[in-house]
Amino acid sequence: MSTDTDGAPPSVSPGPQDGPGPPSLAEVDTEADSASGAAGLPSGSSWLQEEMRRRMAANRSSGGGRHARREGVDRPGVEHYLDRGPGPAPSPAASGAPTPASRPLLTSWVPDPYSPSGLRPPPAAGPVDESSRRLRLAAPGSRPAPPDAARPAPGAGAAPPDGSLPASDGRSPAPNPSGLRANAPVTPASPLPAVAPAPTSVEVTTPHVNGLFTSSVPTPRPAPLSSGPGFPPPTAVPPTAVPPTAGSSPADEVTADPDSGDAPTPESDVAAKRVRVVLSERKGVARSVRTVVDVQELTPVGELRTNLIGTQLAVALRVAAVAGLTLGLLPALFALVPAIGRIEVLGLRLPWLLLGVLVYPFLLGLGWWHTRSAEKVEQNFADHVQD
Amino acid sequence: MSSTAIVAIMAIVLVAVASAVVGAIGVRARSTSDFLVASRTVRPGTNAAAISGEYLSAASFLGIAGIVLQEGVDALWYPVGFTGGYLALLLFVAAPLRRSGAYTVPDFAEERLGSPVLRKICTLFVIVIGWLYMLPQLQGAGLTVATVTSLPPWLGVAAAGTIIVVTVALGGMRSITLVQAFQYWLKLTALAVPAVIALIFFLNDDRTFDRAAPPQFAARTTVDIRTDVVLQVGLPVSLEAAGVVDGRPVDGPVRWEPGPHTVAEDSRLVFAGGTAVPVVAGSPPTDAEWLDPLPASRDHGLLAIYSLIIATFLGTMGLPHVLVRFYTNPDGRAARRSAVLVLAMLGLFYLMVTVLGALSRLYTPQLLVSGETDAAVLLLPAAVLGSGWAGVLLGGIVAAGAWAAFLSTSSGLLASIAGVLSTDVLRGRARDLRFSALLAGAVPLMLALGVTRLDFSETVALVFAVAASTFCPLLILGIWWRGLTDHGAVAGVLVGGVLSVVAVALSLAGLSGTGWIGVLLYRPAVVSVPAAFLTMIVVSLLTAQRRPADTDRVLLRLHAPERLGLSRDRIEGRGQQFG
Repeated sequence: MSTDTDGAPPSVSPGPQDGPGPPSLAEVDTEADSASGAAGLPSGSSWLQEEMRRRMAANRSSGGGRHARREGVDRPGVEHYLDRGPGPAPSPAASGAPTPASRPLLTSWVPDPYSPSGLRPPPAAGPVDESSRRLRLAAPGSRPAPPDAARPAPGAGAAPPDGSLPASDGRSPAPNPSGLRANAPVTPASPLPAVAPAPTSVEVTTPHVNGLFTSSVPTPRPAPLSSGPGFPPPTAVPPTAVPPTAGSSPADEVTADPDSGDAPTPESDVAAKRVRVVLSERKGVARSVRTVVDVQELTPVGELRTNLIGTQLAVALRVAAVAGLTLGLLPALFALVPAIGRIEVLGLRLPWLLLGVLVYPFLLGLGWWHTRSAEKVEQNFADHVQD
Repeated sequence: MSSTAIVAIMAIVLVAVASAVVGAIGVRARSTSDFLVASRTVRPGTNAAAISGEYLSAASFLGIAGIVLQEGVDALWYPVGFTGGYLALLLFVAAPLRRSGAYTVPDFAEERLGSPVLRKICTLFVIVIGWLYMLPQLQGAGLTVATVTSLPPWLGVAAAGTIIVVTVALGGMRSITLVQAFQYWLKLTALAVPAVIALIFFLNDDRTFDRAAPPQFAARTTVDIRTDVVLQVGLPVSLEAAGVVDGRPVDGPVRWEPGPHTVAEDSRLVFAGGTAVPVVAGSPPTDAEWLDPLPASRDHGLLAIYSLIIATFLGTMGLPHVLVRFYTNPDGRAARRSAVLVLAMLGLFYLMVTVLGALSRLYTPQLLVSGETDAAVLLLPAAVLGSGWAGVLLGGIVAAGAWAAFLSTSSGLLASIAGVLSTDVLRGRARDLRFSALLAGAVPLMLALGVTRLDFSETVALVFAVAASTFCPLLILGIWWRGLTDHGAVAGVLVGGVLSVVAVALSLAGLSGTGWIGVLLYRPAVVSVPAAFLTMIVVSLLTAQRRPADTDRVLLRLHAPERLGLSRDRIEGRGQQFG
């Protein structure tokens, strides 16, 4: 009910609610409700309707609904990303280093969301390379959602939801009371101090992520988030993304960040609407991303890696053994039992039939068998990791 | 010049001009990122056809039929091995290598082990393998020209060499997936049409292979001997000879008793119809033996076959022009799938080749006398259909297909070599690309003109042995074993490489002896491949402290499905020009 009351457009809301299965989400929702209720009820149903209309229009134009959906699909990866999101700390670090302008934004951003959890106060000098790399790796899978989710992410704990929820709630209701859309998110009723910074952080992060993401994958998906930079419609996204693409080096990405960071102010309005959409996707994505990173870092989950390679090797060796034994024994067989060479089948000598004709379907069948098995192994691995 | 020759030359020129033009147009499409872009639009079927098109060389098009004609059922291990090599590639290399983002072996070696020395060594072997592999391609061009026209072979070699160098220097055609895919279908058609026609003729004939006698000349036949041969005569033969026979100058009727007879080059032999065909020494003299596996006339046949199987099954994955092609796949999964399709396409192609090779024993037995069995595919259409317009047309198609085979493979190879040369060897020179293309083409050209021609299949088997002894262990252990170290890899590649290259050099120089040593020099893989693997493993274990710190991360990236987002494509980097 909470979502509906909020006036969240139907297209968007399903995403979050569907995913929400986990308890943490539920918490979030309720909180959101209360917050929205506090802000919205007093003002009356009229603002609600107006808000709904506005959002639906926004969604339609921006395609937020569509994005939300897509993310739902990709969700696992994204969520992960988010979790590390605090990890996004990496992004701040990387971006902050080169450009002074970008730094303040990032710095302020980082502490706010996570300070509660105490994860990463300032961008600090974490291993820039690693973090950036990690981001990049994770990015393709995670796509647009990450930025938003990143903030709340701190794991399944309640801490993140709190911080993030207020922010989100505050944003949506905010417009009504203040009448100003741009600042809306900040002012709103969100009880938590973190709220105010949250919007900024969102925007900043978003562009950053987008840049990274785009650099590796040219798909325009990040559009909704990209609102930060100068993004009226999705079209704006590609241009921003392009530069990073050309230069794969972290430096380029960093430079891209500042731009995005500057952008937020003008179109914060758009950002606010979009933020909503993102929120919905949060949970699923965050978790999966984390796992990926864990796998990569060989944390306990890393055992999966060994399993994956071992299983794939077993699959390959199994097929190779069948091929090797079958074909490898033929010459010896022909040598030891010459009579085989005189057998005629279908008007052809058996060796000619075997080596000239039947061997090709045989090899093709083995190849097909292996491909199916290997894909199944990969499927299982990916599912396992993302659970 | 006969009408056959004119039609064939026209077909050849057409193919050559077409590929040169396409190469020139393709100038803009040769960077790594173009490959990436292309990879998103190319379908697996097209991609598989492109892979097959680049892989099926003159050796496959001409050589296999020739060796089947000469050796019989044992020669079928060549096409089986060439196809099976793709299975090994699929099983162990395709998807992980695609995910590595590397598109040459040196790239892979550097990324996996981070050793500049290893990279240099790999570069060296890419060049060696590429040059050796171009050798039969160029000679095939020469043979084609000499067979369908009466021009001297060196003219064909030189013309072909020039064409590919110019093509590659103008832009290279290897990044043009569609062209390669088209070449596959062209080659397949050029073989399937004559194969089907010949098969129909054969089935309407009541001729059979199952005779304990040598093949017979169907009609009066003139054979020109272009290189010295030793002929093995089973039944007494009467013929007219002009030239040097058995060490004496002859000009007139000769009668050969059973036993070996030598014929010097530039001799001409004329056989009457129905005469038993003398066969080059070492091949099964009678049809019955030809039908049987491992005939008694062949020494150490089993050893040779096993060594061949090892070389071809494991060598494919080390060929420079093959690996690059897999980069066109959008991801590891697609790489696997197109490898499976390639298996089907190669099987179809080699089936046609086998039919042609077997039937040529009936229709073009004179090739057994001259030893130029590689020309079987070229001569079969005219032999079956006569010299009417049908035979002429079909001959033209086949000649064009042979040139397509030769051009696509060698330009792919040349582009690979030139790319490696310009990025790793001649770094920083102006006009690198053109210069390295020239250099990359000049060396094999010299070799092709200077070295005695072996059967194409034999030469190619030697190259596969080198690839199997060097890159196969590196790739397989590098992808599947986290214990590999740079020292181990260097030692293994060197051991395998030196063993196989020395054997190849001795064989090409004609110094290989007889007995099992001779067989091993001809087919070194059975020794050199295990030696390389063993060296690599043992040295790696001894230097275990040198394992790269990021081994686990790299391995995970090689094996994890793309949707986890761990892999990345190379947007820019070495060898960009040639992508």
